[in-house]
Amino acid sequence: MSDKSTQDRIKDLIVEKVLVGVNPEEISNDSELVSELGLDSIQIIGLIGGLEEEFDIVLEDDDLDFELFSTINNLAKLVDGKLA
Amino acid sequence: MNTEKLTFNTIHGDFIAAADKYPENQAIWSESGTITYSELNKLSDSFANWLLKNNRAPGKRTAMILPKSIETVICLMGSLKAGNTYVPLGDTWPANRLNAIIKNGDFGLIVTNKENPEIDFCGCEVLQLESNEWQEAQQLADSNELKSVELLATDIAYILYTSGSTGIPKGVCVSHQAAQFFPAWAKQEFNVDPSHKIASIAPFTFDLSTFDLFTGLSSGGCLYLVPEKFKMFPSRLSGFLEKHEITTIYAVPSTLSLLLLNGNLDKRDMSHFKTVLFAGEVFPIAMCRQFREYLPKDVQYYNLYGPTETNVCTYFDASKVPDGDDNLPIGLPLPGTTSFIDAGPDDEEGSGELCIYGPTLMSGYWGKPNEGASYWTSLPDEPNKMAYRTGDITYQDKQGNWIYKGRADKMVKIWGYRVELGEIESGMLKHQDIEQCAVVKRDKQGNLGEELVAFVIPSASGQASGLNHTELFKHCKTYLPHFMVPSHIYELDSFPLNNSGKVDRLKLENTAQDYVLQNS
Repeated sequence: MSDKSTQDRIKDLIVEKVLVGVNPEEISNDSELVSELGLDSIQIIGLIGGLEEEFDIVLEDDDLDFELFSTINNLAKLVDGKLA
Repeated sequence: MNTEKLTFNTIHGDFIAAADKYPENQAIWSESGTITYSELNKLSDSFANWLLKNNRAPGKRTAMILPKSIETVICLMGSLKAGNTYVPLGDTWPANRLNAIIKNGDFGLIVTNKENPEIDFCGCEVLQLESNEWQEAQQLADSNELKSVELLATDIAYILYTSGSTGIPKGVCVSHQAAQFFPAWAKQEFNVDPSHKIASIAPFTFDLSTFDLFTGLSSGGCLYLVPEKFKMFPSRLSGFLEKHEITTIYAVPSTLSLLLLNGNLDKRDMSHFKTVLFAGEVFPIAMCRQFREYLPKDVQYYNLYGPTETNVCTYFDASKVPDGDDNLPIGLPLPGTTSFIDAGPDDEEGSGELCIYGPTLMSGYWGKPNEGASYWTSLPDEPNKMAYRTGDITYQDKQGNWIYKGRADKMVKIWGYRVELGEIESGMLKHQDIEQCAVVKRDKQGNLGEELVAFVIPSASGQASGLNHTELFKHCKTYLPHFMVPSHIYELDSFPLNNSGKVDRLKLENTAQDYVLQNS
């Protein structure tokens, strides 16, 4: 098990699999994933797959909401809700 | 004698006719509500009355900085009825881009729901949605003031802005005569009727939307405005298509590919589909074959082709996918359209730049004289008729179908949007930390279309502080719409040069592609 916070694990995931090459220190938990970091549909799909794998969860259609996917903080809430 | 009036239809004429014929049919579904044909007709009459009453029509341009909504369609149809040109501008475009357009747009009115202090309206009249004025503009339907506005075939119906290589977007002006041709043809060719439920995905700033608006709303069928939040998630989008029993979709192949690969189509009921239209980029033939496996056997597929300057000008019936791995042809010219290769064949296939002359052709670019412009060329046998040079390299197969090979210039397509690399570079260079910049495209992992990446050489200040990529992305977004923002930025000390001493873009493209391979 990882001791890292959900936020940090999501950030690692984004840096390793979605926005390769971006310095993790440049991404904050409140950064807007789409409007600020520029994730497109394909990167979002990569992120969905990465989250399911990393946290061993299944994201249903209702989880795929623009709001929930807007920032790392919101994603962490989604993931923690799934794990609870 | 002016015979023009007798022989042409306006772009909105068939909508008015449909509203008479199918008044109670649902015209538009949106997340916030629905509207019937008669209501839409009435409210757009009202808006037209308001424009005329307030001296903002006819013969002026109504710009709209609005999300896709029923209100936007009311504005757009009302503007046309009042004899104005409608000019949709993206509500997600950065203020800098909007300002550059507004400055030169000479708009009679700008309708918006935004109170963005960064947008400089340059003294134009602004109508805020939800304002008292807007309410008033919705209540003039029954006043008998809507005098019939006489339009000429050559009057401009709409102006759509596309990427310009110098950094300033170009406004493509399309006359009523040209604008109505494709929607009217499409209605017949694809048998669009009141039973059709059309998922409208493309923004109104994109010419794909002219099918939704003017074929869809002339058929008695219903337009379903796909909520923005679903476009990001293919499985939500496929859920939307299933729930509303969508029959018809006109989308860019990137959207169809995403639906195929991540839309859970095997779990969706797609049995109501009748027509799938696509345009804007190449639909990989293998994807096209796979996509069809999830839809009923009798669905019709068409590959449509045409830059904004010609709207759709060639079409290919892809209901039977040809054997082999070659690109789907872009097909045969629309009726009345002349298509030819400019400057003789330059290889054994006889390929060259495709030129188009015909009923769908634009009038010109806003604010730019047509005379002598390099994008016009005369017809081979009729030197007084000017055809549009598309910049697309094509050749013809034995059946006369055109096949697309590539571009003659630096323009690329991202999500079907035209992108001039020069516009991105000039935007990036406005940042003090960048000395030099070259943007190239590369294939994404897994055949999922193309993406843009930027190579930059930092300036002295950039070297001193180190480049902050997040800040550079932010900077890009203040000048460029989202689809033009590079997905990756790579720093170099110097650019590779070719024999003529210019930046070797081919080499940069290869380097960018290598980075993808290393990551996979």
